[in-house]
Amino acid sequence: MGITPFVLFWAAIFTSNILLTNFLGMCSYLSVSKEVESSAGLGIAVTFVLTATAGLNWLVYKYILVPFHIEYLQFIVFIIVIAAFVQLLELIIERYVPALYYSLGIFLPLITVNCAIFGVSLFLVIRNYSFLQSIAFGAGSGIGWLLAILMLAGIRNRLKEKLVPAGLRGAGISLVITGIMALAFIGFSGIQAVQ
Amino acid sequence: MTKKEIFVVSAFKDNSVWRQILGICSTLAVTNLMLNSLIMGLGVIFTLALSTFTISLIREYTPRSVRMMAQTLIIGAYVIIVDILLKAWLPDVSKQLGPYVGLIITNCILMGRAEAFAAQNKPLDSMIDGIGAGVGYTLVLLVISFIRELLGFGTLFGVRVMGEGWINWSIMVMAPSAFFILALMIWAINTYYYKEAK
Amino acid sequence: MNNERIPFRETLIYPIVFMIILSIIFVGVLALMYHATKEKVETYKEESYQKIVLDLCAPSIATATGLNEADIISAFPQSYNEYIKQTSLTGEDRPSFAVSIDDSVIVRVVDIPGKGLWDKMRALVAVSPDLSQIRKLAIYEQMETPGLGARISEPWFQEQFQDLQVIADGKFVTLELISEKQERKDGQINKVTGATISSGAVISMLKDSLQKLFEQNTLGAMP
Repeated sequence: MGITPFVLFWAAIFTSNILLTNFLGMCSYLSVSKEVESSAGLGIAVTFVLTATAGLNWLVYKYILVPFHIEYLQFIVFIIVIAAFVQLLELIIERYVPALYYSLGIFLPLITVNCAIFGVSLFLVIRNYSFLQSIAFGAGSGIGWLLAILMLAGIRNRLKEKLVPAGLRGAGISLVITGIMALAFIGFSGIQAVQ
Repeated sequence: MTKKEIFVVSAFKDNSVWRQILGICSTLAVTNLMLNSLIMGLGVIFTLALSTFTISLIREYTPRSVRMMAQTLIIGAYVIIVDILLKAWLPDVSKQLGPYVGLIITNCILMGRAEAFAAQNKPLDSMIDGIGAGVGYTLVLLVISFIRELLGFGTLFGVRVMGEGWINWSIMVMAPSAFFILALMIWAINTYYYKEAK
Repeated sequence: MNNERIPFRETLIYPIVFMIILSIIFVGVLALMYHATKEKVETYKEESYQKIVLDLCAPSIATATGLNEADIISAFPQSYNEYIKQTSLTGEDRPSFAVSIDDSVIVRVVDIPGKGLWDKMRALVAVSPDLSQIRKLAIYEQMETPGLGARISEPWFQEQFQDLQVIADGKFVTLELISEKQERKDGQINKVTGATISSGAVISMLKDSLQKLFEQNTLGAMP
């Protein structure tokens, strides 16, 4: 592939933002974006997991799945790798950085089912990325996700909840805001970096 | 709760999409055409039924520490089974569903029902709960895609409905429209359906 | 002091054993199903591919033999075996086909690769024997966004390329993308609304492959 990892990194943040362009990773994004701090914490954790699992799954695909001709198991294998990594991360954080563990709370296991992470692993297989490209793509996607969730949290914080109709508070208005952001990000698609 | 109650609660009162805000990713991706929504919905219902049943079946033997990994494995396996079955016996449907199969695995509804219900309840009840959740989800998809396909393409299930002079609403073709329609749906449901709860 | 034996279920090793057994069961079932259906899937894929090739050649065959186009298509696989021969063209490592009636080639089909927004795409193109004109186009593999870019597979889009003279003076002509609703003039292609990149990818794919094919095969006789 001709795209340098550096360009891929930036593209993953802006022009192919995993959340606003590919619409992956919505569930935790909508629920967690109430507070800016937890959003930042989750976003950083997601970025870390994304980068690591992108690399791990690339290795697993190249050195285990392909040689043994079991590519059709990639769905299961990838998600198990992600689940195992998150589990491991949880244990490490709990042991060495307990303060972080308590502030992240339930959000750590939530990362396992974040479709953005799974999606990134699938994409790097489909698009035939090299190891470095995968890492860059994973890191960029993570930061893109972080960016999106911070934006939403920031906006929700500024938004006077009282002005929002009762039925629309919470999920409803988050969806509308995200929709507008997604429309705005379509403007980036004129920059054909990752095509 | 009776079996019927389990189903109704899972499909409507505690609907996975508009109440629990789960399964959003796929809701945005497949709702451009009603046919895609239907196929995706059926796929999810089928996988939900099988996975909730199985997870409930072995719940007594599943250790806490590997609970999520086990659920992930089971859900993933059933999704791939559905994919293989489709590829072999309904190849045209499989081509339509192709990109979405991966989306079913990470559909938070599957993990959600497994954790919230199947891990603590009997197999048959769990399966009904799973099917209910799937039906509720499919309903949401169909409503959104009804609007999007009608206004964006002028067709329903591929059948031309709008007259000749109809100008397609381009925004309905693009994914952000699903955000807005879903938001409106949630608003309407919160205002009218849950009125008694307020 | 605890004199009772810890039940197996609460030992440390149980979770590991559990996961291993669970994995073996499920992966085993999957492997079984996969291999049981592999052949069926392969056969289907090959048949679909051949049907597309036949469909692309049918108009040309109909013109040359006077047979009815629909009859030719429905007579698969006999008609395929009768008319379509696999050949090779210079510089091509992908399959290509040709139909010859009375010892002269009336149409060729080439398998060309392309790159879309999400992933690779592939198309089969029926071209005139001298490789300068597209007879009919069939995009048979693409992973563009369903409802948007994926609409390049719709008949109306692909029909725009039918009987299109694409090589003039040894070079691929310029094709301009215009909006879906506009009236089309020569040298223009209606794109899919909201899918400029996917639409453009089709044109790039055709240009790259057909230009190269034309350049490499105009010297000397072709098989």
